[in-house]
Amino acid sequence: MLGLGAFRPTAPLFGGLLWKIPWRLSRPQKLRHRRRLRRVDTVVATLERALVRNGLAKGEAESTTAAAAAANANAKPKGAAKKGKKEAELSLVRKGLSTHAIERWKTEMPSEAEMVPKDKYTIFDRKVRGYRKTIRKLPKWTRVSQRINPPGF
Amino acid sequence: MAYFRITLIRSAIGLPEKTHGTLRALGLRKRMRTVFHPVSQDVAGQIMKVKELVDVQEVERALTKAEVKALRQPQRGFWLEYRPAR
Repeated sequence: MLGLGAFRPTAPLFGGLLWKIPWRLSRPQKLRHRRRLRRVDTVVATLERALVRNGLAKGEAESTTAAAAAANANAKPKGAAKKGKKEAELSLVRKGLSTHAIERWKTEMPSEAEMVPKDKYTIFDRKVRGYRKTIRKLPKWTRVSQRINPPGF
Repeated sequence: MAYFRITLIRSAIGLPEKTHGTLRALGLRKRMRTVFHPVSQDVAGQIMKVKELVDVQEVERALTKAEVKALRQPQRGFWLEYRPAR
């Protein structure tokens, strides 16, 4: 039974540079990946809608006005707008009208529809020529949220 | 009172220990287990930690384990007909 089992002398084990992971996702794989992204989007949307409906978060329109009002209230002569906004969000969090994790997701993460295909199917890697590698090189790529690039890429 | 109906769709095998801990805290020990938790920011934060693994709905009432099971039962596939009483 030579050559059978897990340690058989196959080309990937023998050769130095033989990649077993295909670079491209197939069309159905891409479809399933998009569905997974959308599923996460709907989960976050459901959470937010439920919190708003139960008075535990401000609605979209209210939250911006509230944030602006808080920013004005906290405005210092040299205070940057960004800082004011962050403080406003923090004050909302303290009042129990905002959930930090959801706010952060909303500000940082693009939805599936907003993402460009490059970001959906590839990931930044500084060691790779062209700085992009296929998303399936990311460990647990079907169960983690990886949607944004480092600044400048 | 509104509840989150949370179902574990994907297992956390191979994910960080913290993810397992969050699922345990939510009462999700096996795939396709459904639990109900009141709508609150605490629970929302917990769900955000495992959002890739679960399916979430907002419902008005928390179902018991027996009710959830009854919903899952398939139809019997036959109907008993009785002779009308004279």
